[in-house]
Amino acid sequence: MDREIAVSLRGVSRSFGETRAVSSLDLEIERGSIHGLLGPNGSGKSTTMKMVMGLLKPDAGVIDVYGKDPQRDPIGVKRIVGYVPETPRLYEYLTGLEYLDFVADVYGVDPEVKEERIYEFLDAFGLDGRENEMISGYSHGMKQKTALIGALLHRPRLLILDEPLGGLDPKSARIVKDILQRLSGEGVTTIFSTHIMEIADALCDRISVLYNGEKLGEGSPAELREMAGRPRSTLEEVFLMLTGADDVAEIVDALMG
Amino acid sequence: MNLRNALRLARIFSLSASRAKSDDGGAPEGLASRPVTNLIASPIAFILAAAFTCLVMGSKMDAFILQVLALQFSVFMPAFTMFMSMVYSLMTEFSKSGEATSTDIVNWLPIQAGDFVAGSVLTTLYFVSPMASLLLGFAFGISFLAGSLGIWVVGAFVSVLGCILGALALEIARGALNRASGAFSGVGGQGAVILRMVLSVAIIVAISMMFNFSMMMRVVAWFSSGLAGIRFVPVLWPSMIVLEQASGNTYGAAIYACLSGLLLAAVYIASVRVRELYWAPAPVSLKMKPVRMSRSRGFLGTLGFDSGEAAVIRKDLKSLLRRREMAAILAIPVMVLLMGFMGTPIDMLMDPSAPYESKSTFLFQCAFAVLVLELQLALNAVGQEREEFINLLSAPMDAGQLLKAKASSALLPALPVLALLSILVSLLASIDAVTMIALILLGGTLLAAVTTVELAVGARYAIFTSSGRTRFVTQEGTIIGMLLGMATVGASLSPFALHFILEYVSIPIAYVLTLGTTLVVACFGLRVARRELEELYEYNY
Ligand SMILES: Nc1ncnc2c1ncn2[C@@H]1O[C@H](COP(=O)(O)OP(=O)(O)OP(=O)(O)O)[C@@H](O)[C@H]1O
Ligand SMILES: [Mg+2]
Repeated sequence: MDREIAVSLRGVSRSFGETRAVSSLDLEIERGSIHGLLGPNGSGKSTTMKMVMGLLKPDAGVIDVYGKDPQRDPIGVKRIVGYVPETPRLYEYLTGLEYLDFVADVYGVDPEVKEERIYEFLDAFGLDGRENEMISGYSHGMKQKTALIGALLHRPRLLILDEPLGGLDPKSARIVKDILQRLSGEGVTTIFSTHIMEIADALCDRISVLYNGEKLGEGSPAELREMAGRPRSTLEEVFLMLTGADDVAEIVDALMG
Repeated sequence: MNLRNALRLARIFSLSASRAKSDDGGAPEGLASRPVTNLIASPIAFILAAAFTCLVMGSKMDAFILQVLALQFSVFMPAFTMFMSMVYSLMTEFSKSGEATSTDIVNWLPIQAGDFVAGSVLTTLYFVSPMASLLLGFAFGISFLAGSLGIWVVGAFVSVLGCILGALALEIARGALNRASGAFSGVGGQGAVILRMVLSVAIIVAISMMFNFSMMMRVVAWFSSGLAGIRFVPVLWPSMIVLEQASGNTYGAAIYACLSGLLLAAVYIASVRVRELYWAPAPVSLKMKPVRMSRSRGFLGTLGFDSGEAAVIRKDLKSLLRRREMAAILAIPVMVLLMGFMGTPIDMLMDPSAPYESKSTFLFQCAFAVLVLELQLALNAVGQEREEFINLLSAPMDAGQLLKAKASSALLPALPVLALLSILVSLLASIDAVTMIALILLGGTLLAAVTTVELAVGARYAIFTSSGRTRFVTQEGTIIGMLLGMATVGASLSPFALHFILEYVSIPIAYVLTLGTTLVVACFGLRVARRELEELYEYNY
């Protein structure tokens, strides 16, 4: 079977002053796969994603996105990537529709299909009827959905989603999951981070567990369980074990006295 | 009203206000972090002002003039402190971004409307006090020299009352403004949004004009001429206390004191009521008319902008009309223009046969207003992206495209204003068509030069974080922007000096040289701006 690699990182490092946010990270992400980044707070997930996007410059290492280097050809990379940052920032003084129109124009979406595509997504996410309201009046989840639609409009070949399901209601989360799976079938690659183990378990083809900027392990959810020697436990238990946090019970005991 | 709550609130308000002023939004350090700073600064300002007045004026002024001045100052102080506290409250209100309004933050706290109003008034007093002390100090010095300290004491007491009245009045206005924008939101649509912006600008301008020196002089003149109608204007009652007392009419002073007390009570009750009514302003959800999706290249497309650049320009123009923060930015050029109108008698402007020189101040003010507008627009062009800049950074758009879009969205609103004012000026000053076209051409180029230079400054000193921040550009950047703006205009127009000062070359040659210099400055600005924007893409966050 021929594996086509969409995104690869080799020896990628990045520090902020004294903090090593990411240190010599190697990743290979297959085209059309959904790759989850798991790890405790501050383990380097967002930093990794920003480097793949070309928003942050790595201190060392090589990144390749569909044959393009995000530092040498940032425009080329950004054109084929859809990105939802950790906390999406939308222009609050625009309406949802105006914002999506703006995003579509910025990415050069064909004006002939723009409107239809926007309304399809608005329908799918249950935002239809609210699209002409100013974003300043949107709820957290509505903003999150608007940002997601913005990342999907130009039919990217790579999706980089930093905790995309935070704040979404169960139905919307389900829609996102279904969309990601369908896009995966069409060959769209997804990198996403999450703290919700069930989602990672259900959605990811492969998972990388990061800790202090280093990769502790990688594999399909099943492989990770094997690796941890706990094939029957939940991914949560595997995660806690890998990241050295399986002393949760003791911590809680100590806290609650 | 619970005084302890009010004091606590006042502390929070003043701390958050002084933090919002610091550029990094962090806690101010050293003295600035202490709420007592202004309280120390005020007596110092007072003593300095009093000493200065005694030393400087004591030797030069004759006794009669001193007496008149002392009276005018004492009478005028209350009205002045009132305007001062109003302007202060208004400025802070408008420089706040929607989500940072103090009202929302304290909504869930167990406090009453009365506490809130009292806290807010105390905060205003606190911030206004150094300025007010300065004024009181001058008045004290003059009164001391004139030997009328008794009147000064009354005036000083009434000034505090005026300050409180002003702050309370603004509390009502705030509630009313919220209510007004809420009502407009209900109506919705582009028209309401524009109307709201026009209203906001008008309110800022109107109140600032009251602050204007020539207006102040007019008010003083009213008092001196003893205009009869004055006594029916409640806002001036505090001043009337001083005036009556000064003319030895204790009985009249007492009546005005009672009236002022009633006024204070009425305004206080009204502001508490308004605060109660709009205690919890629900986030209004503005509904707009559906957008027409651009299928064709559109107007901007035919001008040679690609779809991304055009999208940024359209977004920026909407921002200009819809965001509260823009009102303060737009108000400044409007004030400059109004001052131009006020400075020159209207009948002289309308008289085509009046000599050109008599209109030159006005012409100058018009040109100045457009330049200030452009300076403001360009300086704030990049910073206004705030944290939303991530949208542009992650978009397939390079620094060159961004520069093109930002420069255009800063220039586009100023060009029609330039055209309109040019027509007005050519009518008033009866300038012939060729000169007019030459002037517009030069004006446009000059605007372009200012735009590029200010874009560069604005990009370098932009504030991208939003929380609690009131400006788009740091204070340092604003000052540098103004200085460089003046330098740009000066450098661009310098060849005219060859004609007017050295009488070295003829006007047409000076004109061509000027146009050339301006173009060179504009190109230079463009290169610097491009470099600054490229640097933003390297920015790490
Ligand atoms: N702009 C920055 N300046 C300084 N340090 C930073 C910056 N961005 C990230 N860091 C540091 O880098 C490390 C990794 O941060 P990162 O945001 O990548 O973590 P994360 O895995 O996304 O965490 P979370 O789950 O909380 O989102 C942290 O220690 C963080 O403090
Ligand atoms: Mg993160």
